Amino acid sequence: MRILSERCKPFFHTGSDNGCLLIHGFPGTPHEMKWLGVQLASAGYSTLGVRLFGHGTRPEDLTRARWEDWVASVEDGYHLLRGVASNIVPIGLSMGGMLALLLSQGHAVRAAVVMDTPYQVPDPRLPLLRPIIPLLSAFWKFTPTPNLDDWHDPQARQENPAYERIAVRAAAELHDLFKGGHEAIPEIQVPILLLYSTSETTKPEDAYSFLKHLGSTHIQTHWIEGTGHNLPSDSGREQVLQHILSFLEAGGPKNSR
Amino acid sequence: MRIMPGGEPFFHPGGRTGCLLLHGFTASPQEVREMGEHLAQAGFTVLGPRLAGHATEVMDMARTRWEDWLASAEDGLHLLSDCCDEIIIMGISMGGVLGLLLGIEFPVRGVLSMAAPYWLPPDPRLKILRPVLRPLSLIIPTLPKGEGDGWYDQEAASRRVAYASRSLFSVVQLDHLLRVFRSRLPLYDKPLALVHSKVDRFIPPENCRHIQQAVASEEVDCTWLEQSNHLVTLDAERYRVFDLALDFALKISAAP
Repeated sequence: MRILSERCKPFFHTGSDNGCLLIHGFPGTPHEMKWLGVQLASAGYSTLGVRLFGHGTRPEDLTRARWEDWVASVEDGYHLLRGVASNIVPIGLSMGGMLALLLSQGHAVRAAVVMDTPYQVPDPRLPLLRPIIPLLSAFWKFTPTPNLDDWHDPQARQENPAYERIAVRAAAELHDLFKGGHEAIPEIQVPILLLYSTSETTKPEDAYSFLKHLGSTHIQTHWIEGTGHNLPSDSGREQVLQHILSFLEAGGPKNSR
Repeated sequence: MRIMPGGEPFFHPGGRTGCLLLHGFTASPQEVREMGEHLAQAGFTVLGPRLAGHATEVMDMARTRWEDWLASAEDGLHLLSDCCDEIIIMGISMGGVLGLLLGIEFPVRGVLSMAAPYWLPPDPRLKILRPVLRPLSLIIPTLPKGEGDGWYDQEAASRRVAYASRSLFSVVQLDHLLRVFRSRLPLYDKPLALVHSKVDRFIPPENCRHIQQAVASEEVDCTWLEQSNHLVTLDAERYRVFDLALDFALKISAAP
């Protein structure tokens, strides 16, 4: 029996005492963090790319996922990475960015990197529909994944495996995760790197909201042009890598706190 | 924090041979943590994943399916493969079942299966309820375990990190997993070591003989314990089990 396809596998590289925990988005797979993981590993970092519960298998599997399962998947990655690295920086794309921030509560992380994470759940219908989704999703099971074409590098888009339809039930969990994130954000004190695309999935207001609400005093923000939402895989990935490397070297694991 | 304190997954970096340690049904990586420390001290790289739905809240487990548990074990295998040249899987109870299923599919050196079931436990309630378990799980989601007795090391019993109850839907899933297991087991042909207690009150020793007979492996090492109940990695003879695991790993690994 084999559940995971080649591109959906989590990945691990043991390197220095400085570890990067790579967290993919909704409804993505570890593949979208893989290129960045390989680059950070060759720069000497220990890197671990988690697979979030219900992701990378079948779209139906997200129906039974709850946001706490995704939090637990991130905690799994944290504990495994702790076996080799004591300074840990979670790096997350989109929903993974919110999970990176949530991990910094109650776990010893040195800093966090948030990539193209919306501040509010992107679908404006969600807050309204949230109370009836558990019932509604019995009849309306799937909806097409939004922003699937928000890519600039066609080859990277083609190689990226992600569900093309999302379980409506899981959208409610996305909503609740962001709600949990909003409560946690003012408490967060660690240095933060915010990386945003100028694509259509997020707006400048998303970054401004994080800047406004985060409790951290050390926040860097950079805008990457000419790329889609998938920052660590799409055409702006080299710039993303450079920003992360300089953040890790200057404000991250070695010098902060 | 979602994961129960003490139930976290673990990783110990070491040599080019990796040991994947799989815990059992309703339990947590704590079940194989001490065994992992012994193997790590001997120079092996060791990884113990947490199976989906385990070591958080029992209602989380009630949502998961057997494929989710197998996927978690597979996650662990992939993470460990990235750090090692060869893999040996060691699993207790349902962890042994998952380990053998992975061993059929992936190029591992061998599997150590401890106290693994071939059939569901011979609980008389289960015999009666089995056909209606699924609808029943909607009305009665969980039942208390009540398995505190029968331990040879009571102190080890008190250190256990696991759910106090089991979800009925999860029992349906375990039943399904074991059906898949019995149909696939004849495909397993790699080195195999089995450990089972003669006085296992939960999974009787016949289960071990069934597994031994079902596999296609040329050589099967079978060890019988006498001073342990079901959880042989925690109970009174655990150090004997750790030594046995180490001997098996040294015997079948090719890397220095």
